Amino acid sequence: MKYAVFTFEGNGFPIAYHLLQEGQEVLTGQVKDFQKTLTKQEVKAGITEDAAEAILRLKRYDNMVPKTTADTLLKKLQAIKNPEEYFLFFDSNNLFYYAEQLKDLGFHGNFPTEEDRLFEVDRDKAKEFVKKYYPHLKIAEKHTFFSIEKAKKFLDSSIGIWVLKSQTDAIPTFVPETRDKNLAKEQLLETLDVFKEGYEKSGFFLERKIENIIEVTPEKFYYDGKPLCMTINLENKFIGSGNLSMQVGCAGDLVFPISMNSKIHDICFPPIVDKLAREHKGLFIWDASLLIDPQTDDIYFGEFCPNRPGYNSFFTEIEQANSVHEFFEALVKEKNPLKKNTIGASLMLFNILRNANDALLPDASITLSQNANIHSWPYDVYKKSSKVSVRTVGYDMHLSPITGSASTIENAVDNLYKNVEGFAMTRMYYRPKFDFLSKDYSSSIINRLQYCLDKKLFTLNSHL
Amino acid sequence: MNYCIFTFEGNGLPIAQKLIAEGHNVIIGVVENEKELLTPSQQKLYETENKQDKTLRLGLYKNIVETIPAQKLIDKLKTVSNPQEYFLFFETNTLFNFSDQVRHLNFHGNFPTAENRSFETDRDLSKDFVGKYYPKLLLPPKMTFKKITEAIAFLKQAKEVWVVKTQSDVLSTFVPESDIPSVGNKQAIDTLELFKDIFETYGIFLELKIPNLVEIAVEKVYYNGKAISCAFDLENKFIGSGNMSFQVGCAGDLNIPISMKNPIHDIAFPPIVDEIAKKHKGLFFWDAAILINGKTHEMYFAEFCPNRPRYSQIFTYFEQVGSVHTFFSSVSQEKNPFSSTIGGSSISLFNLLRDNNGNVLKDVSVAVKKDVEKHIWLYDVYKKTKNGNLLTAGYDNILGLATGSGKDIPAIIESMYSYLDGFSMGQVYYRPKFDFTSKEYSSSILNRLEYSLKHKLFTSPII
Repeated sequence: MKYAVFTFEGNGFPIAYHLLQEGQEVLTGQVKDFQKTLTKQEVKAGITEDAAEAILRLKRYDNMVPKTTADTLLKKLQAIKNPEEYFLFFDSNNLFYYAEQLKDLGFHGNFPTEEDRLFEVDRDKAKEFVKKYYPHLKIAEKHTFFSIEKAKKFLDSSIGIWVLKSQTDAIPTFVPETRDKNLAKEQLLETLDVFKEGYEKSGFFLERKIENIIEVTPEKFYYDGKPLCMTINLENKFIGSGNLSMQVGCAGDLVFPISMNSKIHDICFPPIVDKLAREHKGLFIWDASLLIDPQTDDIYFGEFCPNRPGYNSFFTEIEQANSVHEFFEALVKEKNPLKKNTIGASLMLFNILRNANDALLPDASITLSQNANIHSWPYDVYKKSSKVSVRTVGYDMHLSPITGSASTIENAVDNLYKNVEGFAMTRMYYRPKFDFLSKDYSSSIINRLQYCLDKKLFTLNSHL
Repeated sequence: MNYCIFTFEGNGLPIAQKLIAEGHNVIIGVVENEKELLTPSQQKLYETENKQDKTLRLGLYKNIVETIPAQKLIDKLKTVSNPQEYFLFFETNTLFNFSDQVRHLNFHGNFPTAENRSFETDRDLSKDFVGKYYPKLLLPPKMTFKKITEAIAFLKQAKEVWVVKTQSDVLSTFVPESDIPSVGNKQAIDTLELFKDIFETYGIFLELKIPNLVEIAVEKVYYNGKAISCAFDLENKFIGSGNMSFQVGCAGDLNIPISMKNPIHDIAFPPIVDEIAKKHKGLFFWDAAILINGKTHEMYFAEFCPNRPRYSQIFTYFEQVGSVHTFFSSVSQEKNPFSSTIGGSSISLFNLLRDNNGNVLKDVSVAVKKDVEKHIWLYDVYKKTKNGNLLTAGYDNILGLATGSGKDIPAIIESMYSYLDGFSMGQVYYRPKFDFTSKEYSSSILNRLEYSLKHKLFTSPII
């Protein structure tokens, strides 16, 4: 099998890099023109990419994998005579512009559509979908506003604690950390005043905060509409140990396969998901993050990663296969790609150092042991030339996921941290092992797993 | 007592705020021009303070407390007829140019000198001093270089791991995580390459890394040359739980008052320190950070904070004695303000949020409930109006800290984290309680405490 990897931000580069290491033939295409990743709605909203950021983004994996632009790769693939020998991997659903032009040409692969992308960016649409088709899931109470004054009036008359979210990424989500309702309200009002212009320009919403939430994400893999396997992903989303401070993509996770006969399968994958899968060619990935209120056991819908891999979980899943190419080959053969009796874990390594200009530190040198090379999936790296050491780009603080696996949780986490030891970079940040295995805070991975088992949402294979 | 607080970066501002809250008359003098802090040799290298940094620095505590320029406060103090009713607090020894102008005028307070400052910035000077007067402390082998290429050549063939330092506060000491020379020294080389300009401007110092490190600090407080108290301090210097990632000054500490009859006192405070104290008027702080090889038990000198408070330790002092005024008024009466049965701790709060330009995010709402105000010490805050709410100032990512105290270690830590329940800033970062109380990593506070007790460095009724 030959591989073509499409990427915008670079999540697919470590996949391409591993495939190359495995001796596979790989082409990569990176999107230059940001506009081609936008939905029609986003284009109308006039979203643009910062020019300085674009330079850094396009520097990722320079001199590490053969790179071309996504447009060039598209043209090349359109002219290919033997498409059945190729697996096309689109690392996110924002690559629909390219996927939609290639999906009917006989290639293997995943083919996200603009409709899939809309489920991710239009939260209202996703919630309407869940309301209609997911009988076991509740939707957290949410109120949308375009006027600060109206939001203030609402807060004056409401009870409970609310999370304040902007409709754009320009203003960070404000989650009151206090349990004091008055204090939380006071802070929300202050935040609304401080960022008044931004909130009123793009709109904003208040969503009811659920305390001590249990978050768990089941994911299901299909190929040509056939369900192949499902996994459970318990993710640490916060940068700080104890799930403190700000949310990052993924600070670490524990991922393992479970039976599709589990209770959580039916909660999370109602018949409509199978129907959607049948309408999609090739690899189709669907998930739903569930937010469980442990006081009432009510299960709320969180979000979808619709027809795209979740990160880091995709790497944690590949870790549980024999290799990247065997993972993809198994999918094409409509077989479960995960080894039996495995559990995988991942950890994000962060570069949070800043230079004198307050920019994320570029050009920090990274050394990888042979073992770490196999289990690391760096994002924010490049080489000045093919023969020198790997360095940070400085585009994003998410430097590299590292993965490990075994047949027990303890051994999987042990292996994970052994693999971290082989990744040497000055002053990188990650959450330590005793945090990963902690039971000291209610939202810890192990406590969430215990909750799910107690509630019989799924069972673990006895060896785990 | 009237108080005058001199500040440059704002460390003294929460102290001033607490004194005001305690009902005292407080005047705050802010240093406007960074150059006024420097020794003549530093002034030669000085480039103007970044304009944006300066604006943000001078905006700290705006609409929270009234401030005047530091020199104006000095001029005002020169005309005061009742100096004995004033306590002057210089937040750090960088303020020696101001303290020099009033030291002789019968005020109470601490009065750092340029010489004190040199002990902090000139590592050779402090090490020569330790070599001469501290018989029980060893000096880690050290190499000095002018060019990073020379240091790199040395590190490439080194058989031990080396720590990288420079003679400036601009860059914190880099301690390689690994004890394996090929890995640890590679990280040291990377650090040299990354910050080449700073190292080649302020000097390159490589110091042998002490393996199996147990780091402790001891501080002694004097007033008019009289020894008042001694404290044992265990600090977490790294931002990440498990003492990982980079150093941040102080991410948290545990502070225990100890008797001056303990063995660690004699190790850290040879007779020369008493002699120096006698030459200093008013409040005089002296400490020593000590690096112990956990296997050979050899003790090495690390650094001094000469005649300046250690941050965050001074806040744990205030917490232990109940108020800022209690501390200052006791010491100025040459009385020990501490009870031997009460210890303290601190945990630093960080704002890791950044705006689109990479700057520390300004204007994030911060709230402190009335009942915990006494235990929260904020640096990086201001208000838009006098009646407005607290907002982050965006000058520095160290937002502030919380302190706690108690009669045993669990009570100390429990109280500190309980006060955080009354503090709120969306997405604030701090190291959690299970990290503070962890024994899972060798450098944890409790493991270092256990080592110190096992080796009888001190005893305390708190433990």
